[in-house]
Amino acid sequence: MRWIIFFIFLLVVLQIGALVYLVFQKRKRVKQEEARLNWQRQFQDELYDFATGEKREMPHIVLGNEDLVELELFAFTNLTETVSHQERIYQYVEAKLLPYYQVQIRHRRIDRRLNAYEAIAQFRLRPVAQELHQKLGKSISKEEKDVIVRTLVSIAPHLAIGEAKQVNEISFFGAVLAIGRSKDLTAWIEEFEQLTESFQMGVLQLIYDREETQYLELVRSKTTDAHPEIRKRALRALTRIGLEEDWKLYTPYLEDDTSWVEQMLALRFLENVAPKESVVYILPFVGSRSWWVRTAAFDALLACGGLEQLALVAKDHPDRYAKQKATERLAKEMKQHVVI
Amino acid sequence: MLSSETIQKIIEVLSWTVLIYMILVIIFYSSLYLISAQMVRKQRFRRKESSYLPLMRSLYTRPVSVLVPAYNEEYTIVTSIQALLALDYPEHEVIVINDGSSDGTMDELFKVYELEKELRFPRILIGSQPVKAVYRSRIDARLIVIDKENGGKADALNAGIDYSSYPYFCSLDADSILERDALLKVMKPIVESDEEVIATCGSIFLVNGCTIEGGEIVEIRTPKQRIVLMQMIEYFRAFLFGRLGLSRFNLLLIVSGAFGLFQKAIVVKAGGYKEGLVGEDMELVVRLHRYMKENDVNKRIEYVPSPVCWTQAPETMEVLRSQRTRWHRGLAETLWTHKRMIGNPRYGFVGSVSMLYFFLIELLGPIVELIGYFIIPLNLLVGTLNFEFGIVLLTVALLYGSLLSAGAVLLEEWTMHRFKNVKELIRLYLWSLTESFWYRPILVFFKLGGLIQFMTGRGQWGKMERQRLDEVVTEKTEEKTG
Repeated sequence: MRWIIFFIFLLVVLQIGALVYLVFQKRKRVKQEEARLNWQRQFQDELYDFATGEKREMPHIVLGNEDLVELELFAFTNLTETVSHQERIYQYVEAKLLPYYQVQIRHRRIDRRLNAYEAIAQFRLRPVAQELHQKLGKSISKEEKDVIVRTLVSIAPHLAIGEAKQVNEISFFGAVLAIGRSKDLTAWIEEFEQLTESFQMGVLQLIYDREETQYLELVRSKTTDAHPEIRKRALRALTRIGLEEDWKLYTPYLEDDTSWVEQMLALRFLENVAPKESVVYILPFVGSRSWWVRTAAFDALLACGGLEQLALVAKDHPDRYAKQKATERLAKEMKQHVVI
Repeated sequence: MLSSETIQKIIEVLSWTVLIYMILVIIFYSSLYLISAQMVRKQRFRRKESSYLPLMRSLYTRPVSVLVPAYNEEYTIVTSIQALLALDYPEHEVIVINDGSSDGTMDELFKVYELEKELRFPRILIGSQPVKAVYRSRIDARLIVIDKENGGKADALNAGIDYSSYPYFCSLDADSILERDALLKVMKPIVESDEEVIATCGSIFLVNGCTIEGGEIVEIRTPKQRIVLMQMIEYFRAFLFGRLGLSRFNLLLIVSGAFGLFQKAIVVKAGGYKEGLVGEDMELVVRLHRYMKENDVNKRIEYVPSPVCWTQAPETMEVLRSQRTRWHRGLAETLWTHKRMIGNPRYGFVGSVSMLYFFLIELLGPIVELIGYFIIPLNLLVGTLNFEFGIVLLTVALLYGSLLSAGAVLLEEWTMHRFKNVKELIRLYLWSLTESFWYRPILVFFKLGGLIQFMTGRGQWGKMERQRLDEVVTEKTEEKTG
């Protein structure tokens, strides 16, 4: 019995200790809040003057207020597109915050480290690139690895591409976020065959997002890839950058037994290149069970000038949903015509 | 007649049963507490904005249909919709399902949102009570209103699923307010896992006492009414370490009806919301787990602590009684519907841990607690057990409720710092210590009422009294019945 009482007593003591700690923390925070806010406002003005070149001296940072500085720097770099302003911010971070971030990336807390990586990427703090790269070889969590690779793409892309060739657990979304930091995809395209699957899919995704027509040959070659996901990404990219002659790459997918993804992509391609004679291929899909396919079918039908067929679907189609969707689209089209 | 020796023996056995049960429960909850604390510790100082910004700009953030079943919600519906249309999200629609309201819900919607009739034929995936008409707002085309015959919340949600356009849907209560980035935050695990996560939910906080302007919470304050305050503490405990701990191992059985995000396809495959049950939200999640296990589908259901949905809590004992009775009946109905999963290793940890936990601790807990309340005075009366045992039993009983709740208050402060000042923190902490003395026993009786209703097959939804959300929600008076 005594051990139970002892255990409960211990719990009570621990909890009171935790309460006292939290009360002191809270009191400290509340007290500091106003002073910190005043300092932040003053720093905001000084930072603006420095970044825009109105003042040459770099604003001073009060120890312990680095988090507020970070907030202001993030806010400013997210707002400005002016290269000279951004460059001055990068210089400022390197001059004033490098030691701070060197400590932060070695911090025992993962949340602190993750925050630091994101700031390093945002402020292009290149001197820490090698140290970050070395971290990838150590035993760290998947989340941390993802963020480090993303950071490296921003500050040392060659190191990141090297990592993207090795076996890694980075997800497709993680890969897209990482590669997306590169303004120019050429370095990734050159090493494409050596990249892991996630990164190959990521590159194809970004070709699609950015409509990078110069990589058309690579995309065409990947539409027959053995890996179904890479194939789908390539077909998707082709819907945006493909030429009319690429239609033949899709025709096998418009048969009944193909997956809805390929059917949707074929329809998206038709929407993009819009050949009038393809209306006949599109019509069977307006009543598809898949929301994605039927939506793509209506988009493609309109893009290919199938207004007349749309009216027929609205009037006579046996599928109620297709009829309704056609009516909706038709009304929308008519409205646009009237406005014009 | 039983001899006094037999009575003493029975009391002794019961006392030991209660003690062992409570110790086991405390160990289980403490483990969940430690797991949750470890999880939130990792994210405590994480900069929120930068980790969600890529998602807002991303093309891969899936479009979402927000479903809002509404039954007699004329006081809250407009403010709720206002907040929902203003959510930070790349693409979403708001579908309000008027479930045969007898008040002015539809009038309010017509007046404020200028609804116009729309011809819509849904692809019936699940089915519901007949739909009278579908409307779209002339002010904001993302708002769709389905006016249907009354069929209950599950039926309304099923209608919403049938009429929704997007591959994900978020179920919400009409009296709830979502934080602006809440939808983005619950979508994050889905996108980042490449859709391995099929459902997510966020935290529910109580709006009572807060200030709301234009559908947004502008000032967070702890409620003055004791009954609401205790519910607030209870919510901390349920969400911050109950759901978080279970979610860590994919054992989450409740995605609250007030705020949950689901992949539409898998919900349709599982059969949608089941009508005729009061705990339709829990039942759906259990069925999803069951569907996944029976069909070898390896997906996850996750709880995300930071996105918050604000909702109104009962302010009178009568409404609280009705709510808790209903909740417990819902729990019993769900467990009964899926009884073959309880303790069944075929369903993995969901069957052998989660279902068992809900059965033994959540469902049967009130019965054991009730015995516990009588056993100590009985021991004193009959003189069965020694003083030391009595002390242990008493302290364990107190720990069972109060200390765990107090721990939840501390965890909340440690992670979220939502309390305005030290005074509020201490006030909440002290009130949480009183839980075992009055609030918990009251809940035990309400829950037992739910069990009785389940066994006798009686019971109804009960009525929740709403306040207008677009006014400052202030404390009217000290609660009368606490």
